[in-house]
Amino acid sequence: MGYADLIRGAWRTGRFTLPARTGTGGAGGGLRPEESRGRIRGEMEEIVRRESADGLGCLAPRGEGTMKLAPFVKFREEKFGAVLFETRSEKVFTLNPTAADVVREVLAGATESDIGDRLRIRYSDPSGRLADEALSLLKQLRDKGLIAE
Amino acid sequence: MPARPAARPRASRKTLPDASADGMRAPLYIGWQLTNACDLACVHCVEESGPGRAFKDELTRAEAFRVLEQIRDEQVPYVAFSGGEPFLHPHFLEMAAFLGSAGVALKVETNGRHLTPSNCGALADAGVCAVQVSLDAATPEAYAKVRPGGDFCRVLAGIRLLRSKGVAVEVNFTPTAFNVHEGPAAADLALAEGVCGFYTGRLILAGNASRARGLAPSEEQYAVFFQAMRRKAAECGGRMLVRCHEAGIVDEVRARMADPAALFVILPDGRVKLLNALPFVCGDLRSQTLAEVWKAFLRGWRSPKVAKFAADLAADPTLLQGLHRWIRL
Repeated sequence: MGYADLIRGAWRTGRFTLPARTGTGGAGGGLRPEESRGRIRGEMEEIVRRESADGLGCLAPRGEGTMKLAPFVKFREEKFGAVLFETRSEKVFTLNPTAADVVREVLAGATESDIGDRLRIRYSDPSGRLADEALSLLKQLRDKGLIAE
Repeated sequence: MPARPAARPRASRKTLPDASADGMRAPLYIGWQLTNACDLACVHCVEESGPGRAFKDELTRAEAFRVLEQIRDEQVPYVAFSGGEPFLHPHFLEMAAFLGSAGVALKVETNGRHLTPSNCGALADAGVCAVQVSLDAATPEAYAKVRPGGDFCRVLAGIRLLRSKGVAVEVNFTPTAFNVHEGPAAADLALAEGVCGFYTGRLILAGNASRARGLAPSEEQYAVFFQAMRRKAAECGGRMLVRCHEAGIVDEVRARMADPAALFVILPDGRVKLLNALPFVCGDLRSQTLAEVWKAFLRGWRSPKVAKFAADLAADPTLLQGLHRWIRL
């Protein structure tokens, strides 16, 4: 069972906490029930948003400044993060979890500034260092022809 | 959303054959030999394909579609259909359309004899990523020597049709003693026809090629050919990718042993090979799921039998002649 399935199961059943002795890892481990619920709700919202973007991306209106994967570029989630595969040139890019998050935002139709803002919040990064690095990654991906405006 | 530990966002690049299987939840690429039948009997064919040589137990339509559904569900991003000749498979275009609608990138490897307006239109409609056409010559005379019964002009017309429908075309050039001198001119021709990739490398002496005498270019011919291809790669930069695998199959097997790539080969009857250049079968998609076969694939590369074969192959490359006597791991 994958991580998304665990979160989905927890959301469906309402079992948000783990027994204390095993509560050191995994979603909700070591958290109070209300914290655990909040965390799982956040994760669930992200899953729904991502799946909506995957399935209905072609129907969603895309505003100015939004990006998308270039044609023939495929994205797949992996335990280590994700892969981007440019199938025309047969180049494979392995992404660490943070880079995978950035590409997920692209798939969801976010603009560059949206992505910066979301990463600042998600990773508690008020300095914006991570957001700057994400923008630098986006530039690299654009330069390599993996994402397009 | 609460804080999570964050590493600097990083993307590491590799080309497909070097994309490690380690840590991947499914293949990144599947080469699927749809049928062993072919309507040409090329002297340099690495398979044992030819007219009337379809396996007796090739996958049925229902079985093939069960595999396709798993490819979609496991999110395999890239598939190549080959053969034999894929156009001789009764459900080839239907299968291509399925993958197109499932968002899986598809490459088709063909001898180029079936590129009619209707077939080219169907491939364009299926949204294929690229069609790789075997064109091992720049003239009809040299082409006929390596592909008896083949029609050079018909293949060229097919390439033009594909291009007119906006389909990306690649050319595969297999060098032999009879056509190696035409390599550079074939690359020029491909570039002039708007081809986006020109793929070549050393002849593999397996399958039909292992039975032909005097087929392999000499090392002197290879040296001249490789030098010319390096020059072409530089000349064509940005317009056509020229990829020449100079190392040969023994080096490829050695590299794969050290770090297996995230790709495997489906045979026409549903069995799955570790690598085209190895005789080892790690699973059977008739009786196993794709996920089960992927696990067996990862285990298979660690088998002592595979390590021994790779070591023996390095000492005796003629072992490639037994490539089609498959060994179940």
